[in-house]
Amino acid sequence: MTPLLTIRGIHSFYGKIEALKGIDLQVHEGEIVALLGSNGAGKSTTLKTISGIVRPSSGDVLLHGQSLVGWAPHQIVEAGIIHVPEGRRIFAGLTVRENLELGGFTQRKEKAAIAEGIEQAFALFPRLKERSEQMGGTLSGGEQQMLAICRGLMARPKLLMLDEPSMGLAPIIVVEIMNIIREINRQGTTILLIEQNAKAALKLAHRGYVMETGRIVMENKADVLRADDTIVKAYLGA
Amino acid sequence: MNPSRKKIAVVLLLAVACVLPFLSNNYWLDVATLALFYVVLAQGLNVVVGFAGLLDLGYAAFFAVGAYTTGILMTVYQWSFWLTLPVAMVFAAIVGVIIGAPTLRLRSDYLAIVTLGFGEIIRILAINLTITGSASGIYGIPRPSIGGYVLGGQIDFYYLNLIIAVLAVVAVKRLGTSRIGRAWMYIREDEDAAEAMGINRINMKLLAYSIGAVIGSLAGSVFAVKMSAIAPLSFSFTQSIMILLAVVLGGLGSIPGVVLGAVLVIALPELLRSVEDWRYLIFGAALVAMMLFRPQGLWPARYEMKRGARRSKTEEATEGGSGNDVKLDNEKCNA
Repeated sequence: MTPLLTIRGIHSFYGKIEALKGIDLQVHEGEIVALLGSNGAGKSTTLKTISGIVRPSSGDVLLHGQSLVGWAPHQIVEAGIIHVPEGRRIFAGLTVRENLELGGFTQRKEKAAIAEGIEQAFALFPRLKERSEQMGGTLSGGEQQMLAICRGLMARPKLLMLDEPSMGLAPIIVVEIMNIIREINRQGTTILLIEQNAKAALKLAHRGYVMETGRIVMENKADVLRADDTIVKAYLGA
Repeated sequence: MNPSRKKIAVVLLLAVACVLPFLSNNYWLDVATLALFYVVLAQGLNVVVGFAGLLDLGYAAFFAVGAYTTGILMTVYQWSFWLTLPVAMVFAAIVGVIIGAPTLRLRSDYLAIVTLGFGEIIRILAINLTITGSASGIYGIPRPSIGGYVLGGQIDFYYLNLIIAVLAVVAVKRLGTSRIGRAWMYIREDEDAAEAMGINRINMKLLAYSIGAVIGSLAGSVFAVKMSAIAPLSFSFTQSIMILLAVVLGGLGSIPGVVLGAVLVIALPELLRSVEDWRYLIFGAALVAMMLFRPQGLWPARYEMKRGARRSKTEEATEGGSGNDVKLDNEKCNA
């Protein structure tokens, strides 16, 4: 069976700086895959390369065996890959509902699908329903993250890529977010997750990749990675 | 305001606009005609600046493209005015894309400088090309006619402008609530996030420039036949700024606000004529005060959602403050 997403020998540059030095990675349908590593390892660049925001200088990104290299970001979204960027990037000046409507932008004329998606989001996060007419900027950090995830789900992605969903959130909220990610996966969405919080991520994920300075240095089942204390200490800290 | 009262207000306003020529003298009719030009121009710029959030300091260039296209086609090639309109619009749309393309990757200040440069290029081309009549411009542009009736009088042009202004307002309003309008709003709020959610950033931005250009050129074409002579002076940098002023003064992205802004930008200096030399000083001071106390514009886009009933002036002032807070939060989120 071809994997949902295959990355082969990707090199990406920011100007002259080589941020990715040959990345190989696979995500199978139904999985949660964690991409771990310290700051500057190239995790976010990997996601940006997949979503077309950064163009790789060589290598290939395949969705169901079809190459996505050279596609514009909006075409990649329509192909079924959604990138929830780091720092949430919700629209502070728009209401919660308007934020969600944006997520359904690629659904074109299917208003019913958008309404249904919003209902699903509210079912997942009842707190968003209470605040549906409130400005996005007035939500707490955790609520903004929930909104960002829901906005991503509105496009009904095959692959949802989350860039540090736990960033800057209280531990109890992190647990809540992680549970929701598991629930989203159970409902059938494949997830590629970037996390600094390695332990939390490995508890959630099926498999994990560890990155260091633009390379993948380790790949294994999540529980194997989690059980090996030396790995966690050496590459991920804590 | 609830929807039905809003409708009544719009109908009343239109009725007043329709009978205005019979209630005022020629001088005020001329001011009103000019104000209608500004309503069209400001609505066109509203698409670019208000909806899509692309600061444009050279908008008068599109006004010029419309005016010169009509002027040249009517004087040199003896076209009918009505036939020049689609040509001017297509031209303006092309110029819009030409101006838009290099600015796609630019933001705020840089974008402003590039558009400023393009505005100047168009003006200087008009001064130096022979086909545009160089510095003296084009004169003797014939009056347009419908059937056998020649539109020559002030009242005729007032009504022509009124029709075009109403069409522009309706078109921009419909655009604003469409799927395209929503895409512009998302790009304005956060371009990267919009792109990550599947919006075709490049097409949407070019579309905003082109639609803005088409509306601006329409005003230009009518301007050419109304004035019957056009010169580069009419399309100066100050003109671009005055149009932008109308948009900001009224409220970025707000349809009624921008109409109000356009009328004020034209009417205020006229109303202040009694104080002669002081009038632009007072006008300027009013603008400064306005930006301090009501930075979101006189009639902001979210007017009806944010506030239920009428509130006192002090509360209005504090609302300006809370608007700033939201903006700060916005910056924090994006940091």
